[in-house]
Formats: sequence, structure tokens, C-alpha cells
Amino acid sequence: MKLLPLLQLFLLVYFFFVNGAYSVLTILAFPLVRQQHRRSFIDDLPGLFKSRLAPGVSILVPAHNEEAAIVDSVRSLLMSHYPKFEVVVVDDGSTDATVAELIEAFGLRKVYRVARDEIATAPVHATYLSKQYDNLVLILKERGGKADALNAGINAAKHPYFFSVDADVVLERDAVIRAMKPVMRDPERVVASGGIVRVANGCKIVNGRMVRAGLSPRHLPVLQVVEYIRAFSAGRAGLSVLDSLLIISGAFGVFDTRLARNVGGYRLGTVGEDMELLVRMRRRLIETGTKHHVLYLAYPVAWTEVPETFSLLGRQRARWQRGLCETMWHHRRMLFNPRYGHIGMLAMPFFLLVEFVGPIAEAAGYVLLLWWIVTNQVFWPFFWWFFTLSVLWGVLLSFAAVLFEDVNFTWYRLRRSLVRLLGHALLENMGYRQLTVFWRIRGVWQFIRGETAWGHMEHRGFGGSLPNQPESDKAAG
Amino acid sequence: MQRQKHILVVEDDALARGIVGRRFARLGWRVSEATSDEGALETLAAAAGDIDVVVTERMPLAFNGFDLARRIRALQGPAAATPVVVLSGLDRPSDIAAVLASGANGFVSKPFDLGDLESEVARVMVLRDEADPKAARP
Amino acid sequence: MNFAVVSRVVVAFASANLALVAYIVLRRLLQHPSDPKREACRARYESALDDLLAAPGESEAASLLTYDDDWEAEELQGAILSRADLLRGDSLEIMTRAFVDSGLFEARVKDLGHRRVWKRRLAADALGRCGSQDAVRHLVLCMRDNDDDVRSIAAKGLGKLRAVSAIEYLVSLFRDIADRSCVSVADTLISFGSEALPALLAASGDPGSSERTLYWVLRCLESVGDPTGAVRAAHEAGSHIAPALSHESDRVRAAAAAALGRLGAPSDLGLLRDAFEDPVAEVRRQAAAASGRIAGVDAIPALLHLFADPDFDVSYSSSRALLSLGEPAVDAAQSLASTATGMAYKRALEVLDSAGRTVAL
Repeated sequence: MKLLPLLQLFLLVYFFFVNGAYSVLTILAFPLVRQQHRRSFIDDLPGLFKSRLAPGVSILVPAHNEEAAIVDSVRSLLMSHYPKFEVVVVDDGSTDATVAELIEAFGLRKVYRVARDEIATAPVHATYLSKQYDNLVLILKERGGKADALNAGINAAKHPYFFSVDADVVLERDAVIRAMKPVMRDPERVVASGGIVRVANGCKIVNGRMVRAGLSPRHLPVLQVVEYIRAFSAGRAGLSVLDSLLIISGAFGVFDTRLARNVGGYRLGTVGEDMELLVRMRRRLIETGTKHHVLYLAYPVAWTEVPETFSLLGRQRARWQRGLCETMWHHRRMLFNPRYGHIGMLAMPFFLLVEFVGPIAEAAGYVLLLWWIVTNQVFWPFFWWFFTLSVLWGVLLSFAAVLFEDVNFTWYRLRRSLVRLLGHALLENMGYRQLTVFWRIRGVWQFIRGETAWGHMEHRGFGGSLPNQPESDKAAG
Repeated sequence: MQRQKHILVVEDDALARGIVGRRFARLGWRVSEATSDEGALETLAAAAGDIDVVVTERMPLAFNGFDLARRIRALQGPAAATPVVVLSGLDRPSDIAAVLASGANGFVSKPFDLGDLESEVARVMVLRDEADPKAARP
Repeated sequence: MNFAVVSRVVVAFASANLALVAYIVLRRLLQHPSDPKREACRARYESALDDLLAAPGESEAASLLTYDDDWEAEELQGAILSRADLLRGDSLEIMTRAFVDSGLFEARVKDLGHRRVWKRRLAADALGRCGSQDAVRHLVLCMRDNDDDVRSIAAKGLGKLRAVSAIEYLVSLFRDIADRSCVSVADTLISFGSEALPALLAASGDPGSSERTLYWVLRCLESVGDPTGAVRAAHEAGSHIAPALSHESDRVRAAAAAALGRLGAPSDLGLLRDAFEDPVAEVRRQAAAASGRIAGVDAIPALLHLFADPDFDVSYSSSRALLSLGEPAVDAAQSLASTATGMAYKRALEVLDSAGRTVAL
């Protein structure tokens, strides 16, 4: 059957291409990460704190039924170490004591403020300001979901940049100032900036600050540590060198307020709203011919708890894949469209072929391989090639990423930790990655079937926990 | 026999905490440390007036008012009157005024000189003793 | 396609890569044992430094501040500079002396002439933070470096050392270095406060100044110190800033309006007249804010007029500015509220609400 060798060749070429692309990104990422690492030594943070030229930042906090943790969370954000910022809490139609708690804790008082309505949102009922804290604003609005609440926050934000921080992210005290430092160096052009998010499982977190980084004793989180290092340090850093960054992690990102308003804010009804917003922003800038930068921040400032069970992890990965599909679909016109420069010709195709087609091709590869072994049709050289190109090369990439990260940011100081990481880097490519392929296929399937809701998570508010509460219930994944 | 003076240093950066703590230890003070507002309040409440002065860098920006001082004043018992000296990077007169207005007794700007900090602590304690001679330790 | 040959090539390539990785892994693993050693060394230095700070003059700790290897020097430098960042006066002097006596100062001065740019950057950074006035002349020479970063790092260092003699140099830098390095230079000039005013005003009034220089000089002027009325009058800022108000660049006009708001006199309100009608919203916004700051109640008519501006931020700034002008302004807003419609009406209500007057919606 002529089809067999053709299929085999196709699969091999595909894997060669994918891993080759990742290798290129990894190599490109090295100088960038090294550069930023060295720069962190001469970052004059106390001097920056006193800088009169620091652009203002609005920290957006969408909240729904978070009465247990909202006050602590807001108080912690109010202590951010930055000279010019405000905290905008958007209450998304909470039915519990969220608003009452805030009013009491911060001496909030209802005021009449003309509402900016550049982005259409669910109706805003009221604005509250604090007598004690002149950089705290509370917006009350009707329920509309997280993206809608963020949009109301963007409307109300008074500073040129806004921060969107996910509920379960632990930020360093200096997170805002470190994230803004590269923005300050190039304020006219930077429209978004995001960075690596590290895994908080197993780390010692005291009062919302990372005290000592460590690896969880369980395997699943450590596998994700390796995965994140590879995906961020190599993948995204490399993409940013090629000016092809299309995702700023929803966990932690800085965006240009005015631009976000111009493009209409976050899109409702999609699960990958952070990626979708960034793609839309870049699209608009390309269409208007505006030069811009999207920065990647190699110095880790945000830590998040990752799922520790297979079911939660599976759901998370399916959701991410669905979000990717939705965004690609919405902006399909940019694909291979020379009008969109390297974003259309390089970045989008990369995401399409590697992140979207990737899991499908990989799954096809495994299924076919299994079929051929079972029906005794396997062409053994093919098998070894397949193994080398997909698995061994993957191991190489993971090793390289982990080692490079370790050289620069030795967060896990013990030798034991490094050995564990490398061991899990092996494991990641022999079993774990294949598992994620399965979940991602499920995500694609869900997209095709048209599921767009967040599922049962909606009832639990935005993740069921707030910043600096790593111990709280992680059921929302 | 002079009772040993007791200082509480509230600072989440180990570096500054170490410098200040070491200096006062050398001067013969008893040094307690806290790394957060909550920790500081707990320690103060537990010490029930034994702490003579609080030196802190932990505060939000001045235009928010000095949260920790306010919360200290809200404590029950003798701890509420503990003098507070703020060590901060703010340098605008308006910010400093705001800090003092919300309950702090003294202010030393960063970068700081340890000698200045010592003098400010001494000044604040003298004022405290004048205001409340009963509380003054021999 | 000759499978055998290609597969040999691939195998060779893969083996080479794996060998490289194995090598790196081994080296890394072998280096790790030194981490506890480094930490112990660092802890020793830190302890000695803290002892010195705690009991200056009494302590024997100074003798412990020596090093043999490069990595020890790195740890010592890190320990000294991180303390120096926090300190000034006598305490800083202790750190400076430690830096100089241990030979680190000399070493860093030598590095300023190094071939590799990162060495020069790190050296400039270290010298800027060490607190020694002897570093000033070295940092001034850094201004001639080819690399923008070295220059801006040196500028920051000069700011920290309060080297007022370098102010002119710093202002002239705006012309030569890229926009993104201008921020540190500007910050440094701002930190000098009123001492930098004469040079800044001269540059802003100089018709030969480039667009970039004008922009950054005006940004500095907007933030420099907290000038009192006396300082304002003495410098007659208005006449120096006026030409920039009609510059062809948007950002220069906006920065000029902002600077005028900081340093202008009440009589300068007329200069802003054109700015109120500027086609660019940001310029109008800055003009609104500025007029509130300098002209007091004379600015009320202009601000009320801007309540109806189509741009949200402009009308918002006018509303804030009006609020700062006290009772007569609020009265004016009240009468406006009875006749105006649309955004102007809403802004008037906003002012009334903020002023505590009851608002009938």
C-alpha cells in the first residue's frame, strides 16, 4: 500500500518541523533571557520607586462572591511597591457580602462619577471611592462574567496601563515595578507585557510573598514545572525575539489601556480571552501601521498553583486548547495573509501548525504506530526515526530549557531539585506530553462542538480564590 | 537598674531588618522582628506594652495613610500608644505630612543613616515619656 | 533519498547534542556543591558588614572583608552595594570605605575600559552605587561611551552621588541617546531638584534644541521638585517654556503645557489659550490641568468651556482642575449645571458631588 510510506514520511517530516521550530525558538531565547537576567542585577528598584516618570498602572480586580478573601486581597494589592497606581475592584453582581466587606474595611463612599462607556458592558450601578485610600475604586455592576467585569475595569481605569491578574496568582511585592521597568524604558511603543508564570506548588509562601521556592513532592506539579519552563522560557521568549508573541498569560499581564479600549476590550463568550485580546490589539496596530512592542519578562514575578490531579489538569488543558481554537478561528483572516506581516505569515501559522495541528498529528502518529505494530506492518526504521524525532528530541529541548533556566534563575537551590527536574524532563516526554495531547484533542473536539462556557466554574466565581490564598480550594483549576 | 529597652522592627526585607536590628542590639536593646503588619500587631498585642518603639518600613504609599499606625492605635491596652517610626523611600513633604498625620510619630527617609534613625527613635521616646510620665521606664 | 546516509547524519547530530547536554549537566551538577559555599561566604561578609554598621569604629569586622577568588569578590560587592543602596550619611560612608579598601573600587574603574559592554555596564552601576565622590569623574567619562545603557547607568549613578557639576552634561545627553535611555537621565535631573532648573529652562528656551531634547527637558521641568512661588517667579519659567507651546510635535506641546502648570505664574494663563483649542486631545488635557494649577479662579471660564470637550479625558481633567479651585469654582459649576446639557452637565454634577453639595439628578 503506497499510502503507508507516504503517511510515515509525512509524520516524520511533521515532527522534524515542529521540534525544529522549538529548537530555533530555544536558541533565540537564550540571549534574551540572559540579557534580562543580567539586567536584573542593575535594576535600581529603589530608584525606580522614586521615579516621577513612572507611567501609572491600574490594577484590575474582577470579583464575584469573594467575601472571604476580597479584603485581604485588595489590601495586599494596595501595598504594591510602585509610585503611581490604583486598584480598581469591579464587583460583578455579587450576591454575598463582598461589597459590604469592602465598604466597611476601606471606608468606601458612593460618589457620582461620569462613567466612561467606550466598551459596552453590563450596566454599571455605582462607583465608590475610599476616604482613606485615594487610589482605591469600587465599581458595582450587573453580572456579566469575568471578561465583562474586566472591561468595566478598563473603562474606569485612569492610568495608561492596566494590570490584569488572575485570582489565584501570588505576586512578588516588587512585581508591578519589575513588570513596568521594561515598559518604562520604551513607553511610547510597548502595548503589552507579560512574563513567565512559575509553579507555586511546593513553594513556601508567607503573607502572599514567595519566601522559598521548592518543588512539590508530587509528580504532576513537577512535570508542569518542566513544561512551563520549556513553554515560557524557550517558547514564549523565543517568540518575543521574533516579535511574534500572541499570548500574554491571563495570569499576569500589562496592557495599554487606551488601545484596549479602542479595540473593544476583552471578548465575551470565549475562554481564551487573554490571547484573543492580544491578537486583536496587534491586528489593529498592524492595520493602522503603528509600530509597537510586546515584551516578554523573563524575571519571574508571578507564581500560581497548578492542578494536582489529572482530572483538573485535563480540564484546564482542554480549555486552553479550546481558547486557542476560538482565537485562531476569529482571526482566521490573518493567517498566511501578507498584509499582516510576520504576525500573519509567521506567528499565526506557527500557532496553527504547532499548537493546533500538533496534538492532532501527534495523536495520529501514536494511533497509527499502534495500529501498525498490532497488524505487524511496522517499518522498524520508521519507528526509530519517530522515536528519535518526537521523543528524544523533546527530551533534549526540555533538558536545555531546564538547564538554561537554572543557570540564570537558580530558584531551586538544591542539587536534588535540579536532578528531580531533569528526571521529570525525561518523564515529561515519555508519557506526560502524550497525555496532554489527549486532553488537547478533547479541547479541539469541544471547540468543534461549540462549547464555549466555562462549565461549572461559573458558579464558583473567578476561580474560587483570590491572590495570595494558595491554600484555598483549588477546585476551579 | 535600667530595664532593657525593647524595639520591634517590622520589615519584610531581611537586609534592612538585619541592619537595623544589629545596630540596636549593639546598643543594648532587645530586638523583636516581624515581617508583616499582621505579625507586628500580634507581637504588639502579646507583648502588652513591653515594646517601646516600632520601626517599620512596611507601609503603603503615604497617600493611602499609614495603615499600620492606624491599626496599632486601634489595639486594646497599652500597646496602642506605642510610638512608631517610619522608614520610607518617600521624600515629598506632602507624603511625609500624610504619614505623620495618620498616626506615626517619627519619620526617617530612605536612604537612611543609622545615626539619624537612632536620634529619631530617641526623640520619639522622649516625647512619649513627656506625654505619659507614668509609662516612662526608669 | 538514501535513507542510510541521512539516518547516520541524524544519529550523529543527535549524539553530538546529547553529548553536549550531558557535558552541561555534569558541569552544572558539579558546580552546585559550591552554592552552599557561596552562601556561607556571603553570610560571612554580610555579618561583618552589619557588625561594622552597628558599631562603627569598634568592630574588628573590617579585616574580614577581603577576597581571594573572583566569585568571592562578587559576593562581597553584592553584599556591600545592596547595603549602600539603603544607606546614606555616616552609614553609607562605612560601606564606601569597605568598597574602596577592599580593592573593589579600583577593579571596577578598570572595568570601565573593558572591551565587553556588559562589564562596563556592571562597573558603571557599581561605581554609581558605592557612594564615593571619587567615582564622579569616572562616571562623567562614561558619558562618552558608545553604549546607551552605559551612559544612562552612569547618569543614574551621578544622580545618586548628587554630582551637580554634571547637570549640563546630562541635559546635553538627550540629544544623543535613544529615547529609551532618556528616562534614567531625566530621573536623575529631576532628583537634583531646583539646582537643575537653570540648565533645564535654558535648554527649553533654546531654539536650537532638538525635538527629543525639548520633550525630555520639559518632562523634567514638569516634575522637578516642589517649587514655591518664589522660585517660580525668580526663574520666569513662562518665557522659557512659551516657544515650546507652539512646537510642531504633539508630545512637546503637551509636555510644555504640563511644565507650565508646574512652574508658571498666574500671568502665564494667556499662553495656554491656544493650547485649549489644540487639535490633539492630550495637549488640551494638559492645558486644562495646568490652568487649574497656575491661574486660580481666573481659569474658571476656560475650564468650564472644556467641560463640553468631546474627549473624555479632557473634560475629566477640567472637572478635577475646577474642583481644586474652591468655592467660587463650585458656584460656577452650579450655575453651569442649571443650563448645560450632555457631558458638560454631567461634569458639573460630578464637581458638585465631589464638593459635597447635594446633587439632584
